[in-house]
Amino acid sequence: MTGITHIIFSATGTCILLGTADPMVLSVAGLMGLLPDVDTSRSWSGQLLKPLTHYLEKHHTHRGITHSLLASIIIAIAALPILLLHPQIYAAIVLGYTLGWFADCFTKTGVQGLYPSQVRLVCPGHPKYRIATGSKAEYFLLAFLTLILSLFIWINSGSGFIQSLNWILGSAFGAVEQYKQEGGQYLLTVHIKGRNVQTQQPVDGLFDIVQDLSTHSLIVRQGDAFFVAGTQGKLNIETSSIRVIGRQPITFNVKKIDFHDKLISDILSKLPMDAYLTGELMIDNEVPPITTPVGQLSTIQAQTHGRVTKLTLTSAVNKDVLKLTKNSFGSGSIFVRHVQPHAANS
Amino acid sequence: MQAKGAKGESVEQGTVSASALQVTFYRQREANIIIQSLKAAESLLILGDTGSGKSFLAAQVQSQLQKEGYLCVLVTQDVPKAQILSITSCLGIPDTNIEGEKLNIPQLQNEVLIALEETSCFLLFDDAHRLTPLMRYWLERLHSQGQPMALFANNPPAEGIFLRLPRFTLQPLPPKAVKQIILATAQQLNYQLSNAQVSQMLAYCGGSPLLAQRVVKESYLKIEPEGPDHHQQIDITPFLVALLMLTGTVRIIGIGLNRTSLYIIGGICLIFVGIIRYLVYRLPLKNSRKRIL
Repeated sequence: MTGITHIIFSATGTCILLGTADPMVLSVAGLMGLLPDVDTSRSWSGQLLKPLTHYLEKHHTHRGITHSLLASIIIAIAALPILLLHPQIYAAIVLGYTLGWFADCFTKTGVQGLYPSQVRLVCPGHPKYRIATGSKAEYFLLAFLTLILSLFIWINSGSGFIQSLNWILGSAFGAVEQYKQEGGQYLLTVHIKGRNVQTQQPVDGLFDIVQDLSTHSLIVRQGDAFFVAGTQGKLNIETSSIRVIGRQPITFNVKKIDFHDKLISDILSKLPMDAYLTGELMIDNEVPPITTPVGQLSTIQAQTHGRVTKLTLTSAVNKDVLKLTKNSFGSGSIFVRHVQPHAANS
Repeated sequence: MQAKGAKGESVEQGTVSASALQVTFYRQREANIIIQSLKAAESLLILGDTGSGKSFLAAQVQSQLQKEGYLCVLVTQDVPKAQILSITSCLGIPDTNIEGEKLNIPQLQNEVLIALEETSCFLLFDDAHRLTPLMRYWLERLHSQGQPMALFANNPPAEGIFLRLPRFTLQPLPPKAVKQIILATAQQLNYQLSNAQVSQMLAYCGGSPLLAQRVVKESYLKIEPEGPDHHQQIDITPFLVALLMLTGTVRIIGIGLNRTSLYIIGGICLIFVGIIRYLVYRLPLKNSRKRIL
């Protein structure tokens, strides 16, 4: 195989196996892909390392000792110091070298991968279907590999393979998975297409993810309106596609508050007004009726038993809860979640 | 016919290069085993692929035994009558009866059987896998009579005389030896080879002296070699496919962890591997024992 095919093959393999798009790592892997061919003076590395090439040509078969597991192990041991400094570069060195000789399995003569055994490893078995150096088939392979490499660099430089697939599928579970992974660091903005189950209105707009509910549904908000969006369970919006289109870095805090027979506004007014509250509150008086527009999620549910009212909060905004519980005494146990976008990036 | 020509050539080449260019005889250890076994009145079957140097070894054994003063006949690939005649002429058995009529093959075979009961003579059979049944049955009779002989064969049927004899297989020549054969062949052709060329040629030989000579000739004639013909190779396609199949475990992990996207990716991977497997197994396998390509 020509030098350029080796570079691209090693870089592609490393890109897929390490899931990286770091140009430094990929170039190291590509260059290491050239090294096994140091055993012939026709190669680039052979031109560079003439004395070594001279020795190898005199004493060894082409695609012999340098194209073997043994050589890979020697490289892996020799490069050990790099492991301490930069593990990914180390992985690129070992992988790039191994893929460099492994690619030659697809050539006419194969490689002595199990050196010192003289047996040559080939793929496929019929020599007619293996690749001759500089043949048209090799250029086809090169073009194909370049395509794969570009695809994976694009995927890896974005948010990775799984999320790219989820983005293409526009699935609710994909958004849930991404929220589970990144919800602590980023405020995720999604583009939802679908319809409102209650109002039968089509939905096409941008929403912020508030929290996940199940593997296939999320609570999202658009301004002050909250919705359950997804594909399974009790929903407000049934989504046909939901794609994460924006990520805003945030600071994220959760704390638990327990209190007993206290003035609720005293406690809540100390919390940020836009914090999300989840949990239960028992208050000693009745609350005014809560009105939520049709087709939206009511984040506060009230149940009155005699003189006691039980408020069930699901990511309710502090401001709204405060309004309801003015001058009320009560007890409760709630989780306070505060999501604060970074000022510099907002 | 073609095969026979190639074989004859290789023997001739080997002998010439051995004498003229002092190429070392690389199978002395094997030759010693055969010679000692024959001297101990034991027969042997020597197996080896085409071009592994069986004929050359047979000729060496014969010449070494003759040098030591033993009577030794090397029977090569020919019609049965000629094969028998080569033995009778060596043993000094007349090929006519008292009336002057030519003897037929069974009669000649009987004469040899009788003569060998009294005379000590080693028989070497090259290309023994091509011997006709008539000759093979006769060999069994010779064997039961205690006649020491060495059969050199390539992939013989697992029956009769071939099963009876103790056997060993000729191993591929070490790269050093193949390299010397390449250099000797090039020298005969007055053809200058660089180290790079020699190391590339070695990759095509796989320890076979015949291929070593052929590769040099092809290079001399500026013919691009089509692909290695030796058997010193392993087709790793099944292992690669098996490795790719492992991506299917992603699907199981997806089910186990209730991660739908892993489940989908694992499924897609499996289908791709299935397609690759289907295409790869549609490719013809090389069966070089029967057809060249």
